[in-house]
Amino acid sequence: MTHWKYKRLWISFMQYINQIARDAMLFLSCLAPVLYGLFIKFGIPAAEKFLTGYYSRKEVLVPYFIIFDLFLVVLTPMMFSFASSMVILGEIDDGITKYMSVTPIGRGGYLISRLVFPLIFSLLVSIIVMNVFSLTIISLEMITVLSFLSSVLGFITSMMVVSLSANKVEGMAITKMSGISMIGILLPFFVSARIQYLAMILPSFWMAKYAMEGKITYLILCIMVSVGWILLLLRKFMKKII
Amino acid sequence: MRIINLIKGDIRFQFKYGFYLVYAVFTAVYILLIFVMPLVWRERAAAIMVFSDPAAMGLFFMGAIVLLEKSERVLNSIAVSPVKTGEYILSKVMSLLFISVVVGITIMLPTGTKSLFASVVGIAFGSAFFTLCGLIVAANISSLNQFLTTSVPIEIISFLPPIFYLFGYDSMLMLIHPGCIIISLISGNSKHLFLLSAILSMWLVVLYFIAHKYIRKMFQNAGGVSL
Repeated sequence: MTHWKYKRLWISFMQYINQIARDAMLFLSCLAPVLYGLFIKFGIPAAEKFLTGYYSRKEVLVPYFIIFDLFLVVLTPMMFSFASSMVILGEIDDGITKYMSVTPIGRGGYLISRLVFPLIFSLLVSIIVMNVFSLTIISLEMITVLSFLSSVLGFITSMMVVSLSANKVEGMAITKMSGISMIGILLPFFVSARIQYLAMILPSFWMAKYAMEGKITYLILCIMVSVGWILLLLRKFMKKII
Repeated sequence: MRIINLIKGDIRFQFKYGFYLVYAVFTAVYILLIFVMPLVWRERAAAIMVFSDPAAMGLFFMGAIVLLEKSERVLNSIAVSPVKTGEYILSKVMSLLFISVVVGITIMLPTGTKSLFASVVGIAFGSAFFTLCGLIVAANISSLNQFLTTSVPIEIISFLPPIFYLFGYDSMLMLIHPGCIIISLISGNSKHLFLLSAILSMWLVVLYFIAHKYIRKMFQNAGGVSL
């Protein structure tokens, strides 16, 4: 790709950043993980101290600290994913995507500037936030991998919201519905039986398994499931933006 | 008759755009979650779930509903029709109130409530309250992200005190806050039902007039020119 191709993608991305900055969504997307991070960093250990005293037990919340971390790692990409979905839905409703697809940016460039670039940005924010606020001591490699996986999850969520909805209202309904996919984070911790594998189609499920046990198999499965979702939604997404 | 047709139209619209499907799934998930919780948590958990979701759906969806009506030029058609601003507001409130009450009862019934009547009154007031808040915000925004960022502070102010109230900070002073009254009613507290309903009605009247002012202005500006 030549230099000017990068430049026009960058310009398109900056248009997106301007839009979400104007709506204060950029600020909120960066603020929310910090607030949640402060809450888990200081609130959860304080709650643990209180609960262990109250129930006279050695630990109450400690085994679940990693769940708070997992929600922290997915929060930033999810906020950016929501912002991207809403910008794209707005642009589809206003007919802007049709014009964009016949400009030199094209449909692929539009996808990159509205979904890939924002999620690279959220990946960086996620890594920083995790390094500062993570409750469990996990390595930088683990943080980077989990941040990457959650950015891909955000990418899939945006594609799903845009592909399956005909307008903003349906988009909001599907955004709400997609929140259920977060149940995949909780299942490995609370459902020990094989029934938990009913959630095997959710990348969040394999991400949680990987964070829990650190097995490379789970990481590969998470990537495979994510790629499956992307391939399934890509054609529909591309059709939608013309 | 006109108002009945408006409400029917709004319900049809909500059905078409998947509200009923989404809430069928969410109702099942909420009931499932409630039943995996320890018995002592269930009542409070159900009240929080109903308060923050089906009752507050107006605040979540109203931005998208109004923005879609703007982009599809529905508002322009309504603006030149005999439909009055009050009827438009009432139609939005009643149509969302219907689905909120149905979903709320479906969640509250299996978990058990001290007074089903109080719960229904609470869900209905909650739904009307949040829909009016949603309408006020929606009339003043131009994008969904803007709606979200504007509605977040309202959500924090509306949701946090009621949760503190439910978890024991139940001073009488808290009952000035509409959210505290709503969550108290939803959890089946039928004490002072008449008085609490009167306080909530006053809140709704105030919100209605604010919403009326902004929606009227929105209709007058429909199409980009002041009528």
